[in-house]
Amino acid sequence: MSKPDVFLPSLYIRLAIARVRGRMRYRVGFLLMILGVFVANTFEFVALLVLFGQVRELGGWSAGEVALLWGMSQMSFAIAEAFGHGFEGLAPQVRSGEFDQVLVRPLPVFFQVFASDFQAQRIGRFLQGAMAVWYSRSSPAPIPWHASDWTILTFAVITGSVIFFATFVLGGAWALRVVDGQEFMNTFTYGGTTLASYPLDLFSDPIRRAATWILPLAFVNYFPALALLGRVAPDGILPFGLTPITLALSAPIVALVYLGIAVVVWDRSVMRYQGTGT
Amino acid sequence: MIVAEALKKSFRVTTRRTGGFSAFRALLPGSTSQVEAVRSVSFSIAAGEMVAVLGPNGAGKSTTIKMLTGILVPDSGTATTLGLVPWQSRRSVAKRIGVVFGQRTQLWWDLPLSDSLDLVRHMYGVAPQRFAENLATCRELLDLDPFLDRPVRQLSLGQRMRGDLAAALIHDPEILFLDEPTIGLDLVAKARIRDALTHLNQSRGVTVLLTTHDLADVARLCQRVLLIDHGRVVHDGGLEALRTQFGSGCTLVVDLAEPSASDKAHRHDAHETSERGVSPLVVPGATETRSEGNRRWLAFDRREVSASDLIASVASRYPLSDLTLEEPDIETVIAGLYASRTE
Repeated sequence: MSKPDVFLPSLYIRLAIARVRGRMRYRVGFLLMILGVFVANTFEFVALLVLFGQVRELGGWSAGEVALLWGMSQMSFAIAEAFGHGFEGLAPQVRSGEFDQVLVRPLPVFFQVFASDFQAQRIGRFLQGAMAVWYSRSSPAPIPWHASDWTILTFAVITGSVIFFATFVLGGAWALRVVDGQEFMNTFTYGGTTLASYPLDLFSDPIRRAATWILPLAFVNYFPALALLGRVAPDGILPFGLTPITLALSAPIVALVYLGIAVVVWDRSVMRYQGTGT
Repeated sequence: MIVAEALKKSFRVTTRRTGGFSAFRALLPGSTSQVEAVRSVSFSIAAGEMVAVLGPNGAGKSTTIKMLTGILVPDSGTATTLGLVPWQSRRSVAKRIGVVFGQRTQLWWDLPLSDSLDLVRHMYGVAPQRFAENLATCRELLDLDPFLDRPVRQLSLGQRMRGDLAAALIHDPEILFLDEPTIGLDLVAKARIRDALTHLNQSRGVTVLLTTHDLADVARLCQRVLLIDHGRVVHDGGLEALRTQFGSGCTLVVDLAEPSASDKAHRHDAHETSERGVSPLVVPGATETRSEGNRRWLAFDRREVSASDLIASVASRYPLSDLTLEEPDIETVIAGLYASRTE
């Protein structure tokens, strides 16, 4: 019995392309979906601007500065959704028994769920986020956008997407345990983006701590944005009194640790599923 | 090939809570109860066998299959599939078995069937040469050509099932596990699936384990039946044996000859009313269960009286124009079994 090896990265690309091609069969629908995501997000952003039509500042943050936070969080979330939607959409599959199909294939369960639903249409949200970042030029002290700024932004967006992705993985693990717990998980995923759209120093202390130590949303955009804008954070908000730049650069480590925890929880949930068959 | 020894599996069933915060309340203790899906299932299946697993809904058929394919881990008991413990060597076993769930599909809904098969090929790492050969076999065996390029969502249920079967065959499985492969299919589609399975079993020596509610499947395909009920194997043997074991109740249908004119006159003389003419037939060892004009149904138990004795005694008492012996069809036997055990 020969054991032909399956090279997972190329298989991922193949499955992702299949997913996109499947959606592209309904070309108009696909384009409308991208447009829909884009427009819905634009409305959210416009609502933010309307708010700034009434107030000049929000806790010392100008419209452009909040737009930067908002845009970064949207871009990260868009990437996370594009890659993590397999985990997000797991609950109905567990309920219908489709998840069992995954367990009779000779591939790692994590990989199969990861590769099951690549969503190219999330580009709509990503573009909208990029436009919000572009809008942040209007702030009173615009970012000079040196090479170092671009580096911090790129790092932050990728790091942020890993953090959101790990949250989707945790959501999937949750779905394996509590079949009808989807809304609960949405609190952390979609609720997380909303929270990350505003400066963390506006929130009360428990929320700040949770967003730093439990669901590390602060590393998605708040610390990097402080670094980019050269802002001074209020006392006690920066862990260990580190500078925003140090925190922004250590964000990838935080993201990887968080992802590692999510994968361990996921594996245990799969084992538990096989043990209890929810 | 497949060995199951005292497999046991119970589920915790959460009592559904409705209303607000149901997700949170489901976490609270005290809202779950234990259901024993499989109590003790033991059997062994040799290479090249084709075995049907029968049983009422909730008897534990699917759960048994899920344990043998590595989807679920039993609470106790052991099993080996191809010499491996399926839940410990899930991926190694998965490479060598094919699994089809009749109620779901493993195909990509929006893609042409051919693309789905190609993706499955890559998931199993099947070499191009081998894939081409297997695809050619499947195209012929399952007659895939008319819909190979059509998106799966446009396929009829029968076509989709053929597609799913093809997807399960791409990697040359040694065992096929089929959970209700003919559910919801029309007669032609069922026949096609059955023919394909017979062919696979006979020409390729594929071992087949299938669950079904369709006894025609069993009659056509399987020499051996495992009847599972309440999480136990209650019968392991041929379908005919099942009938003789559980289906001894038969019915003799007799058509009484029209009484002749002289008979009528005689009866009138005896002051018999015409109503008296439909009085039940009295025959030792049988009871009349139904009457319709001149036709009477007599139920009897084969273990108490043989059909020939019964016919002889009916014929000696009553004028007969015709008779037929109705054996219970296997559906009735099994329906009776299910009903008697589901108390």
